[in-house]
Order: sequence, then structure tokens, then C-alpha cells
Amino acid sequence: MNSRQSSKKSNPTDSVRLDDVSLVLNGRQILRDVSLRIGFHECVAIVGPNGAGKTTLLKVICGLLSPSAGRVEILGTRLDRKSLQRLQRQIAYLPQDVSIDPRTPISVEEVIEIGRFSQGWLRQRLSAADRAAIEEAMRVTGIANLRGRPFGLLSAGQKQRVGLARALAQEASIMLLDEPLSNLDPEAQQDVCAAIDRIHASTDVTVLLVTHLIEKIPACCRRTLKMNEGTIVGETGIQAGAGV
Amino acid sequence: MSDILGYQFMQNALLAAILGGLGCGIIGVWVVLLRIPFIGVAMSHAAFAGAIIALLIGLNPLGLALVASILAAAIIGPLSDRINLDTNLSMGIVFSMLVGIAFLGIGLMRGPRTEALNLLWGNILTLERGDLILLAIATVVTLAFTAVCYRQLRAIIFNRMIARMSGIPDKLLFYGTLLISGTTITLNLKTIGGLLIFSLIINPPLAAYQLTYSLVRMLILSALFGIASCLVGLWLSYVFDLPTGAIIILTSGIILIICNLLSPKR
Repeated sequence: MNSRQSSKKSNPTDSVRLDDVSLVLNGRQILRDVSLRIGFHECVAIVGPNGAGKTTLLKVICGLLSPSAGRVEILGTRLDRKSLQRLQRQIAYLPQDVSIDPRTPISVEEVIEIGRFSQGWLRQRLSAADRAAIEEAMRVTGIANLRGRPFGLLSAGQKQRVGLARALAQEASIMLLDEPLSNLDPEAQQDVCAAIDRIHASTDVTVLLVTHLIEKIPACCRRTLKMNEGTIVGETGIQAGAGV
Repeated sequence: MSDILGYQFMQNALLAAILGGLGCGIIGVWVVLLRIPFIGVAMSHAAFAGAIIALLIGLNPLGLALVASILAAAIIGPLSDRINLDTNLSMGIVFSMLVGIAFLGIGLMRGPRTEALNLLWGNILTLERGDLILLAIATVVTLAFTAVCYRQLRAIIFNRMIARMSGIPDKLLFYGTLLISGTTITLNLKTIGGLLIFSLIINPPLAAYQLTYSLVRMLILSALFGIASCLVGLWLSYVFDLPTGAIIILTSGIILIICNLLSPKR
């Protein structure tokens, strides 16, 4: 269902707004007239089969891909070349696959620190606020005991929770999670879902989560958008600020 | 041995060994972890070819070597950024062309080719004060770059896209690394030689990589392995009257093999 009835005027309660967004890549139509609105502190799941365009949609929202047509707004500001860098710092993006050589010399705590560069990339040292944010992120995601471990040696579930911690440490307004439950065993999926629920409950971050596992959506996701063949074909649940 | 240390040329060689080993060891860590060894090899061959052409036309070899290595990075770097470049194909084309140009240049030289051959094999014993000053400056710049951009480079090593989205100018730092690599390579041409210099950039950090999961320790170990390779290689070449550049590289290779065998990461 495309929300073509959406008002042309920006609604300041929207974290993310897409108006008739289309994307053609290498001659292929990947996204087709996608319109959606995600309110502040909403948690929305986007589900659909492989190849539906879910990952591409996330990449358009976080500015990694530019739409061929349509308009993207983040926190009431149009996403374009001028606003891209500033708005990207407000978006924490967890890509589907962050595979690195297991021998890479970087620890869990050092990965989470990356999130703090959103506060200023030139800084040489971590401030007290940085350390507090990192500690809180590790506490919420339940990985404080892993802080000194090499990231490459973690299990898939642990890596996903580290990714969530990094996103949380960024203190971004919007969190985009691309298939956070894929390739995880059931216990790890539960842990990651629980971490997402805790993050949503303890902060005011807006969460947009992409998954093909319809039965494993975190409890905090009150709305689900269904995608197929590059467009939104259905919606279930309650939209925040409904009636607008 | 103590007698020979009284001579200026040997003191210069010792200092060059320490500076070269240190600079190559440090910048090599970023080249290895950023997964750009093929760009580095192209830069070293380009520097060598540029130096030979400079000699052929009567110019200072270092200047054209630096220009050529940076040009190689400027062409291959963005290409590898934008497209999924087949590295085997690009390496094959670049190496064959650059090495061909270099040896063509040597072949076209009239008269003695000593200076050209020194650039090919390296001759640490012929370094002068001016060479050492340049080497010292390059090493200081490498150390300063690492100290200032350490956390940012570490983020880029983890994932360039995530680093970029966090606000880090990944392209700027990536090309900065290439520029410093090119400078280090060029200024060590006389020390190690154009065909071998890249091994001194790759072997010490690879050896360090086998032994630790800490990036700080990897930098320290790589620097120590680089310095040790150069000093041990210099000493062995003096004792057994062997080509210094080759012995330095063989020493670095043996250190790498030993570290691989002892690696807790196996």
C-alpha cells in the first residue's frame, strides 16, 4: 500500500519520510514509487522475500544510494548532497554483513568507539561522555564481558550485539538494521531481539528493521511494512500519530 | 666490526637502516590492514620506473620517482574504489608495463649504469647526508600521521562504509596513506632498491600480524621487525660480503616465516 494520501507538507513528528521514491540501478528498477512515514520513536519492521528491495531501501534512507526519483526526508530535512554528512551522523546503520578477517587487530570496545566519531571525527581522545555512552551501550546490549575480545573471534550473534552497541553509542536519532537476525541460531536470535527491545525501551531512537524472518520480529516493532518487487504492498499494525 | 663503525658511510647506513625499517614498518601496517598491497606494489614499481627515466633524461631520480609513485596511486586508488577491479589483471598490466619501462630505460643508458643499478638493487652504503635528512623527515611524517589519525584509520580498517557514515573522511585518509606510502617507497629506493622495497613494507607488518590482536602492539612489532631486518641484513651483508638489499629482504622473510610458525592465530 503506498500512502499517496500523505501531505506534501513535512510533518515534524516524522523521523523518516519517503515520497514516491524510485531507484533504477544498472537498468533495473529496484524501488518503485515507495512512500512511507516513520514517526519518532517508532519501531517498524520491513519484511519481504529476498530481492524485494529491502536492503536497497535502507541504503536510500541512509544516503548510501541516491534515488532516481522522489524525495527522502530525515528528521524533517530533505536528504541531499548538502545535508548528507550532517544527517548521516543522525543515522546508525547496521549493514547485513560486517565480515572481517578473524585475525584483524580490533577489539569489541574499539569497534563500539567508532560510533562516537559522530560527535566529531578529529578528536584524539575519548571524553568522559564518550566513555559513559560506550559503557551504557555495552550494558544495554549485554556485552560488557566481551569488551577486550578480538571482534573477529566472536560468534555471529555476539557480533550483531556489538553492532547494536556501536549504533547505540552513536546516540543517533534513527537506527537502521539490515537483517540483524540472519545466520543466527534461535538462541542468538532471541538475544538480539531482546537487545533491540531494550534499546528501544531505554532510548528515544526510531528503529527501522529489515528482515525476511516474519516470525522473529522484535516485540517493540508495532508496525510491519511488507515489500515485494521494489514497492510496499501491505502494512499491519498501528502507525504512531495515526490519523494524520 | 667496531672499526668499520667509525666510518661515516657505515654510520649513515646504520641510521638509514633504522629510519627505513621504522618508516616502512609503520606505514606497512596500514597498507596491509587496508588491504591495498597491490596498490603498494604498483607504486614501488612506478617509483623505480620514474627514477630510471629521470636518470635517462638527466633529472634528479627522487623527484620523478615520487611523482610516478603518486601518479600510480592516483590512478589505481580511485579505480579500485569505484569498480570491483580484478586485482590480478590490474597487477599483471601495471607490473609488466612499469618493469618493462624501467628495464628499457636501463637498456637505453649509455655509459656506466651504476646509479641505475643502485636503484634496482639498493645500496645503503652510498647514502649521503641529504638522503638521510629526507629519510628522517619522511619517517617523522609517517609517525605523526599514524599518531594523529590512529583511531580514524582503525575505524576505516574495520569497515570503510561504517567509518564514513560516522563522519570520518575515509577517502581523504585512504589517499593520505597512499601518499605517505609513495613517499616512503621513493625515499627508500636507494636503501633497498626498487624491486625489493615493497617486501620491506609488507613483511614486517605481516610478521607482526601473526603475533597479536592489538593494533598498538602490531605497530610496535612491525617497526621493530623492520628495524631488525635492516640492521641484521646490514651486518650479515658486511660479514659475508653480500648485496645488502637482498639480505635485508631475506632477513625480513625469515622473520615472517618464524612468526607464522609461532603464531597463536594458526
